[in-house]
Amino acid sequence: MSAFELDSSRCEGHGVCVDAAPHLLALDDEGELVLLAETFGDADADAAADAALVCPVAALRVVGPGEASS
Amino acid sequence: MSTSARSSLVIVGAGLAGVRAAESARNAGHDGSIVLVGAETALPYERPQVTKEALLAGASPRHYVEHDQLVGRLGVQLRLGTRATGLDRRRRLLRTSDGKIGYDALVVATGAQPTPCPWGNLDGQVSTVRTARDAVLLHRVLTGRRRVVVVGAGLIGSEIASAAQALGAEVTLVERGCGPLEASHGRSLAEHLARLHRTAGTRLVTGAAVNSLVRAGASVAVDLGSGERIVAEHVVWAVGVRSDLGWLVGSGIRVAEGVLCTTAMVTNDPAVFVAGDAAQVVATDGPQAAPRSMSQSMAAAQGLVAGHNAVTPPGSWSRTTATPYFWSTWYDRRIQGVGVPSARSTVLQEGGGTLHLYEHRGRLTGAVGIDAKASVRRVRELLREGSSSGAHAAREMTGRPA
Ligand SMILES: Cc1cc2nc3c(=O)[nH]c(=O)nc-3n(C[C@H](O)[C@H](O)[C@H](O)COP(=O)(O)OP(=O)(O)OC[C@H]3O[C@@H](n4cnc5c(N)ncnc54)[C@H](O)[C@@H]3O)c2cc1C
Ligand code: SF4
Repeated sequence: MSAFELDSSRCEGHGVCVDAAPHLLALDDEGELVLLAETFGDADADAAADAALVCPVAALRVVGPGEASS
Repeated sequence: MSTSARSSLVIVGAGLAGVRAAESARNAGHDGSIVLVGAETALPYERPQVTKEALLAGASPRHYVEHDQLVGRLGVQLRLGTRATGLDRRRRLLRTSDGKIGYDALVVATGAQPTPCPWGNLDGQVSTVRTARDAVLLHRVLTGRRRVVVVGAGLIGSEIASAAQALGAEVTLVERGCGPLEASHGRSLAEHLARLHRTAGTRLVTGAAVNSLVRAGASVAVDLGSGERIVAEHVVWAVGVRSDLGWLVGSGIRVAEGVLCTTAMVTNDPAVFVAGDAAQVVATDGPQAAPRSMSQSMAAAQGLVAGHNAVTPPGSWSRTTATPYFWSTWYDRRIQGVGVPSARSTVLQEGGGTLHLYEHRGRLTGAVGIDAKASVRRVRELLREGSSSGAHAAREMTGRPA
């Protein structure tokens, strides 16, 4: 299992990440990013990795199993 | 995945596209070396803040990835303060200001640079803005000056005008068109954006060409085609950018305005890739190439593809499919553009904001919102679903026609 780590001080609600993984991420009505699942499995790993890399302000990161959040 | 055939990845340009290429190569399983060569001495930082928070505060923007992450987690060898000066493709050698570096795969991510002012910098009284250093210097200049002229009301010029205003300067913004973004997005949006400047107290001179810039004592005189002379203590030249790719001349890599590439971000040399502002995608390999869109989200999306493809065999290459997207902030207002503009547009009001919807032959192609976050998000969804008509999109929006 891996998880997203969102730096909310950087996230500006651009929603670019949502395009890469619409089943894992969404924007709410206020334009705040919502993580639809706390963790995800291998099947979603590629989509999640892409979602993190397309963020234009580098607010989203994937942390692997056992990786402590910093 | 075996990446032994591509054991050494060299990335030139340490901006967002370069960093993303490095991360993406590791995600693709690349376990060889990654060398990141960057002309600036700073770690890759948030370039949009150069004309936003960093300019207002006179401080350097935040880094995308901290040193420990870049060097430790990603295993990137940093060669900052080093400029690429040439490329020998036959021997797979990158020439730099600090010696030669061999590569198996190369990613060009050298971005773009401001178009220089034809009259020079007049001993520092005229400046251009691209880097963290530029932001810190300009902050100092703007804080002390009463009158500032910004030439060019594009996204960057408009942000500088807005920041200069906030810092207490008296700002004149000189623009060739009828308002910001006229050439790309049409008259109706340009006129709307022009009103944002004027309402905020910036003097916007439209339809204006600069005939000359001359020193006038401690000031600079800006002479316009109309005969008007504007005198200011400082001038910011912000008429656009161009990619400085002189170091590739003679290398055999095909270059036009940018480095020519396919949607797989590969150049005419299968060992050389490109991403970000330096790239110019040509539609030789897919149904349609996105227009050259110099934005953070393109830099990130293309960096992702270039980094992946540079370390994987052609059979497993990915391609850029990202929807163009940009944002900008002036006078605390958020401008967001998604998709591509086209000749026909409809204007809708949404709460305190406005949405310009673009359609071509009845199909939605994109939109620009001003303080219209929710509608821009909805347009992004409609573009993703891919089948929406402009009229359908207009009905979908919460707003009413303006
Ligand atoms: C002031 C400003 C504000 C912006 N605001 C926004 C915004 O709000 N939203 C948005 O979407 N986009 C914005 N943009 C555009 C966006 O920042 C760019 O599209 C993005 O930075 C492109 O990333 P890049 O990595 O391709 O290039 P860059 O960020 O330009 O990075 C390229 C790096 O390569 C280095 N380099 C160049 N030549 C060489 C060489 N020969 N050898 C070694 N290194 C070299 C450069 O010094 C630079 O550090 C803004 C741009 C600027 C300048
Ligand atoms: S994580 Fe990045 S792309 Fe996703 S909503 Fe936040 S700022 Fe936008």
